[in-house]
Amino acid sequence: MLNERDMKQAFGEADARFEHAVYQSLAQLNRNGGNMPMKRKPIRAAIAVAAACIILTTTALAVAGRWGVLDFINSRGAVVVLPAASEVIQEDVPQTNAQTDAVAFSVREAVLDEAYTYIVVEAKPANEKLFLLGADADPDDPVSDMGPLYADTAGTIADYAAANQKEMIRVSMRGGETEQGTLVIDTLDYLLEEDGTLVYMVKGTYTGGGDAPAISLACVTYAFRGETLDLESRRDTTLSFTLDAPAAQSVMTSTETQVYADCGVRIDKVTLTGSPMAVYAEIEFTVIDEALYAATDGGLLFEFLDENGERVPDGAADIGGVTPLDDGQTRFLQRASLQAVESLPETVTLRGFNCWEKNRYETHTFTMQS
Amino acid sequence: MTNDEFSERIVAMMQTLYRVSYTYLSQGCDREEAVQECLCKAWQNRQQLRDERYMQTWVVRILINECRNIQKKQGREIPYDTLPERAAPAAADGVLHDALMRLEEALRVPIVLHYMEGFQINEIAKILRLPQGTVKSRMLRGRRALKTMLAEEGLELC
Repeated sequence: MLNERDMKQAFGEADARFEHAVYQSLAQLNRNGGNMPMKRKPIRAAIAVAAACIILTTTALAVAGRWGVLDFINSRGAVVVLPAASEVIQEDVPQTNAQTDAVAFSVREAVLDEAYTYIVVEAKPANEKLFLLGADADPDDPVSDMGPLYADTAGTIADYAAANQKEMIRVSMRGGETEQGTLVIDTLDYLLEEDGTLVYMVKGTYTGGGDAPAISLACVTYAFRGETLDLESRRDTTLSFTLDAPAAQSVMTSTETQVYADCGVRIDKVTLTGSPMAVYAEIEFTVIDEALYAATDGGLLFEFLDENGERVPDGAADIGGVTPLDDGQTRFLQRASLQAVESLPETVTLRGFNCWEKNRYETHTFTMQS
Repeated sequence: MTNDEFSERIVAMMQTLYRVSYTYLSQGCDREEAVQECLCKAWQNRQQLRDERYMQTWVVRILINECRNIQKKQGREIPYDTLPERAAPAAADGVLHDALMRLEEALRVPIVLHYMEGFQINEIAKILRLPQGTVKSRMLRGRRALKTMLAEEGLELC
């Protein structure tokens, strides 16, 4: 007679490749301090098409071949920032030296916009024999993943390093804490420039204040022994810098309440904060029918619609998701980044949708007030 | 939930993730893709998990969605009836494997979730987004079919 234990043998056990896939995904989380569990290919694909985007864009590059904040944002294709965005980006960032024996770190450009940071960090190798890998890059990944310069290069990173007698060094970073505040990294993008500099775009959320907010990034390097990461070779350093306090922004709020009966919630407040970089949105909602809300299985999100009923495109910041407020059971806050606009709208239209099943709920319009 | 806690919970679910993905996908590379997509989405959306006690149910549901997405892609690329019959993995119980694989997917999945993974009817209903009555009837039909097939091989289902 078969029991549960026998039944479990029907498919055998997870094979080595499956286990490797799981461990590799989890290692990616750990390598990035739990802040960037992003799929590798889409990140790199975005970078790989960047060259074409840059040629087409009318936004000037800071210096040809030297990537800045706007270059990374433009590389995402459809993201809109206002021309004034170039004026809020700091090029001379007060900072202290940070280096390991293999890599020197510095902030090339940065901006603290509302609570969101866009920071371009240079990681310069100590000598030309070093080949720097991004936080989620492995030696057996295609070298074409390392940015537009390598887009047409065949083979793996390890192949490239061997052929060019280079020593591979992995470079990663995590958000840090200062007396003034804490930076949590939302996403990291990277690419290699012609001189071997690994350039990171760090998008994060900063909680803190002050006239000159102090921020730190923990930078870590590892060497490889063959194609295996040599954990003994770990070197740590901290990149500390100060940014200008965020400029006062235009804010519009609605405290009008609207019930979304299909999914059992009520929106209590909508706040839009406009800047040349993006529009940052916050939606506070309360559960009024637990059963209906539970049926969404935590997949409820609200999307902004334009006058044609089309979804408003995402903005420059990589934020999103819902966080609990108060007791964590009935009140929630959704954050989003939308494309920048010259002036904030006087009304916004929000449609509920379920990110699991993709089905849509009701739509309501809110009147915004300054 | 910290990334260490998340990792520990996922590693503890390793065999469940494998078996669930195996239920849907015949190719190892597809199962690997599904589980990686699943973990990525689970981590990114972890704040939507209101109660960590339900993490396993939640992750299995995400994994099933990913398996179905891959099936949809394959459906566009490879006619289903041209896929080769699946051979049992080396460590598997071949008779039971073949009997389960002969069940249509709609019947196989609830059987696997209940008898292998220990999920209750209400949990399976939630995972599969089906009414509990539908889950029960599919389990009943699946169990009958499985019982018949196993009886032919001299085995009895408990």
